[in-house]
Amino acid sequence: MIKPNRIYILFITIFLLFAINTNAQNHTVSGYINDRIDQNPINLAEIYNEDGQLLSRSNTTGYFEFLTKKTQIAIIILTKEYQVYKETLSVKHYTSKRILLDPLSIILNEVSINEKKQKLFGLSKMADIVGTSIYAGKKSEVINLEKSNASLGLNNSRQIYNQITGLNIYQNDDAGLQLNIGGRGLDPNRTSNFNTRKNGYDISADVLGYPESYYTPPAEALEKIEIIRGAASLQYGTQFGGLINFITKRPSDKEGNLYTIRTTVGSNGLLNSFNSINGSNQKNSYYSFFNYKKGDGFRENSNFESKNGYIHINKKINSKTNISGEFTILNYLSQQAGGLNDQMFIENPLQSNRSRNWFKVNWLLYNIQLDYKGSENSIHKLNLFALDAERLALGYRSNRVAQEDPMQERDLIYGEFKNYGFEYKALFKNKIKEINTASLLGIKFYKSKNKSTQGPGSANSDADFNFYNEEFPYYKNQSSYTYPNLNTAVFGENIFYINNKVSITPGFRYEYIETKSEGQYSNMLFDNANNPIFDTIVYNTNSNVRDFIIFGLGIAYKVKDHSEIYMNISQNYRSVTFSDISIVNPAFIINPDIEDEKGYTSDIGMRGQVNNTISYDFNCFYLRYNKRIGFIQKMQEDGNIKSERGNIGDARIVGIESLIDFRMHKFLPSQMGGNFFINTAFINSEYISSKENGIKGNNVEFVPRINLKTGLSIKYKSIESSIQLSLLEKQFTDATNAITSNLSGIIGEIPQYEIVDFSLYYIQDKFSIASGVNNLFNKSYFTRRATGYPGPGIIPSPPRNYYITLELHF
Amino acid sequence: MNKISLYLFISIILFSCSSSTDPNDSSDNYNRGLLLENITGNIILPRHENLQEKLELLQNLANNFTTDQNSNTLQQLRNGYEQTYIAWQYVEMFNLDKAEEIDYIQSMNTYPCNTTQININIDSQNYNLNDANYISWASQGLPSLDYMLYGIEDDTNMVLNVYNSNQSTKYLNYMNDIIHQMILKTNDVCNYWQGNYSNFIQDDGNTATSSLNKLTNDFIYYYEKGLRANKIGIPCGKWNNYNIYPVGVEAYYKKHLSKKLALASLKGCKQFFSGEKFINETVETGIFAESYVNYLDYATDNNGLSNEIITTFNNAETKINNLNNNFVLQLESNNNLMLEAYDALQDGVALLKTEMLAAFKITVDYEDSDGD
Repeated sequence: MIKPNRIYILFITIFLLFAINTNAQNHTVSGYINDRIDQNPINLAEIYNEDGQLLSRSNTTGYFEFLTKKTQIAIIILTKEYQVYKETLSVKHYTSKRILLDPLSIILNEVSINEKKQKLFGLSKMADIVGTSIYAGKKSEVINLEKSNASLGLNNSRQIYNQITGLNIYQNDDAGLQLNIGGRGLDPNRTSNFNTRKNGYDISADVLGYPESYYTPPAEALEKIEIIRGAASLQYGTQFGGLINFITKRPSDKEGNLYTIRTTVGSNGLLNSFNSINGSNQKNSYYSFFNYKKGDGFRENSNFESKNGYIHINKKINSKTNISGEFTILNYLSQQAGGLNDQMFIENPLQSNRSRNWFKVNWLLYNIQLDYKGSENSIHKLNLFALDAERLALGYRSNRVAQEDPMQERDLIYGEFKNYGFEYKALFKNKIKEINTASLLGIKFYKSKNKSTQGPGSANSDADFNFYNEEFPYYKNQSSYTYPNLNTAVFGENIFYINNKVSITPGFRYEYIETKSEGQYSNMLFDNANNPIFDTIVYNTNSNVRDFIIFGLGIAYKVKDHSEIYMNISQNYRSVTFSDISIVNPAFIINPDIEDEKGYTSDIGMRGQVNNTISYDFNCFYLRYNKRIGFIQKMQEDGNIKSERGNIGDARIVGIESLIDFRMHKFLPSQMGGNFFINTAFINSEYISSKENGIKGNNVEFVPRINLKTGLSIKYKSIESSIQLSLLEKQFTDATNAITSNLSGIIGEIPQYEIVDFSLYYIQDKFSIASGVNNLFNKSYFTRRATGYPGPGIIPSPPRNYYITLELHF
Repeated sequence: MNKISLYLFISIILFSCSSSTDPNDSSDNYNRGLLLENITGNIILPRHENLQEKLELLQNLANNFTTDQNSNTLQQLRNGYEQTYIAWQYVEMFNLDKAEEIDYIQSMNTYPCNTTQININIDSQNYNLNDANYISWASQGLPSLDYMLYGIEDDTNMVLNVYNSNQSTKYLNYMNDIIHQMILKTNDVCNYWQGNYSNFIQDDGNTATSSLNKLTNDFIYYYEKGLRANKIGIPCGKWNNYNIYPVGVEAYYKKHLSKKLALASLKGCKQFFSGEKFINETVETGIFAESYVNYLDYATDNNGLSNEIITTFNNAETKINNLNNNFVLQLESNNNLMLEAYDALQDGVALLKTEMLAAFKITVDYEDSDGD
């Protein structure tokens, strides 16, 4: 453990480093603001500096004026009905500046002025209504990547998500190939407890039956990340964790092409090349990127190569209608170094004794979006989406992680995911008597057909993803299933603005879901010396068809201009997954009454800003997670005992979450800026009932009681530096709350860890440089005990590593 | 209005954030430490030490035979083998910690042995008994010794002839090596128990990796797999459409030992369940699962579970006693009696795995192996 003192000293040193006072004379800046189209002067436009200080307001003639000591100043102009304007002025342009603002076009999301102001902070909340979505009364968090100090080139989720409260993050690769985050005590594995979307459409393997995210877009391509907690269930559906929506960068409004070239090199042979092009003319615009990543990994046997491409084309058909199309492709191959047990981790946390384990992903995503704005008060959006993907996992995966690889056949699992669907949403604003209302109605249709095959892979070491059934007929794990899924949902929410302070938002969602599995497995029996004695194929079909309706309610109360109290309660569900209803081993059966996990989430909190200096969000939540799916031992009619999968218990998770972001510009010399944030979650969890022996009263796994992230960033002219500390208290990894581990390293506690990251930026008009050190104190730690891939066992986290990114745009 | 709503807000926060502090329901008031103390001190340790003594004696007898291969030294060696195999039956269920780590159970008693591999090893004199795979395990331990003493030729004279042939050194080397390997591994495990005795007893919680949970799970797993499936179920073809599998019988080459071993194994389970102390080769009353179950029965007003379990053990004992001393002959003459014995053992699995574990509030930590 690092001593807190060292951190303080570090913070103070950085402070002193930048605390150089400068004296300078005052300059007057003045000019006029006009509408670009009709050239009319714009009254009451607000001019801010980069730190969010209001410098001046324009008068009826559009004239403005203010004083500054700086010889160069970046200004931001905000006003209703116009797009945000940004420009850096130098001293020779300080007088008679003429500024033309573009009116808000209909394509642009209806982002409130309030949200734009909040961009001054790294994190903001969603406006009540954005496009065709309603967020009033919900706990929402928006990460503005533009303001992020994270090492985007490394896709370092510990930094990117540092202001999202209560997130538990698996940190086990150099380049963020997979995102593993879980909130509020839910399992982080492949972000499978979030409803994961990109620009509003599903990107996980199968949103209901296999909600794992193998693809998440690189942070460098993102404008922002929106996270709506449990109350998202009404508009987005499955998962207790809520929604995570990745918003990619949009085509710029300026005509012509813009190029961005970013190259990152880092420890362990890391190379990340991110290149994007961005352009528009009167009617059409596009944004496209290509991202290539490659590295050797921080352990032996963990090299990777990833190629990711994306194109977004936007066409404005007329002043009311807009159509856009998106295509995403991802291929990656990575070697997996395997897991460790506790003893191995202590001996050498970076060792690897698995040299033949490989993982490959091919992901294709398609989306067409149609926007139609009938009037200010009626907006329509239609998304047609499709996914065509596969995932292959190959390797020797013994639970005896210390055992040498016998170099025989490897286990191969092939997963194929195909789905398509549409989602239509419409938003109407009305007035019922004196009450303003906004109504959202939506319908979603989703159909998928997935496949999963398991069998023997080759006995060699290369990444050969072919099955070798003939060579190894007695391979133990052989199965083949198809998994069809069909889902239709109808949903609606309605905001009632009771007066100018209080809004009430009730909502509902109706779901019809068919989850099926059809296939076979080999039932192979062996004698005590592993000689095959019996071999047969067992056919199996299972179907789970159901419909239900869930409800929710949100209330917001505006205390002052920039602060509100919000509370909400929404029912949640997590769909029965394919693995829940398919048998690959005769020792298991499935309870015929198995059903979706159900529960509800409630938040109550207060959020807002004080004088553009402090931004805060403080809340409590109560998450009730009922009918958790698990195993119990059940006697069969013939007297045999089998492990039966079914709904076996209820859990509750309560917590206090808070984020305080403090801007220090007022206390710093004029050319400096700085932020200090502290993000904490205190969580208490408990199994309140369980059919499993000895579980009732235990803590829920993966829930650290304390989850703290705090950081400081200081800016001086074009240089910015930031440092952050992440601390997670110890967590259990199983429902029995085992502390000591076993030979496989799969269960046992994850000890507390605290990690410090440091980064430095230099930003100019045409280029910027970002550099940093992650895990500054080179702490040996782990965040994960994997039950299967990429382990099993302890998956160690990276030691100290360095990177530097150069970005050019022109 | 403002004040009221603020008050309401704060009170709701306080209400919803006050977490309940229920006592941990996974514990009862029984002193698990006492159980562990009895089991470790009076069963695990003396049973392992007993095996250790038998193995040392076996090694001496093998040395005698190595010096002078005659029918007398062979007979003594065979007797030593039998005593060791019986002593082993009381140890196999403790497949945890050190034993699990070094694959003790697999290297001691993986049967049927792999005679092809044994002959290759003898012939080449080039093998590594520490290899952790089935081929290696099936060519060492007690089943391989069984083959070396009874199976390499059809009768005693012919076996003796092999040990007096020009190949004798190779055979003797291999036999001594596998005995030596058993001693090394047994010493490892004994040392572990001697050194970790108190740590093990102190770990008296109720989690998947706590001592009592591991012991109980390993006990049931042994009863289900080591006894029920390996000794009876697989040979009688329970999972293979009742096609008998004679080579799967324990001590296949010695032939008339299989029933004795199965009975010893069942007795070991019964003594473990009752916590009967093993002192100076005799057993005395002690405490373990039986008294724990009794305690819980009393606490939950649900009498009779431990009686039921003991009765089931006794029934199974009767059914096994009905069988021929040589299971191979029993399979060939009347497999139904084997199946009856299997069913009697299965009744015990049901009680142990569902009701006893529920009473102990212990979760199962393994997946069923044979998928019945």
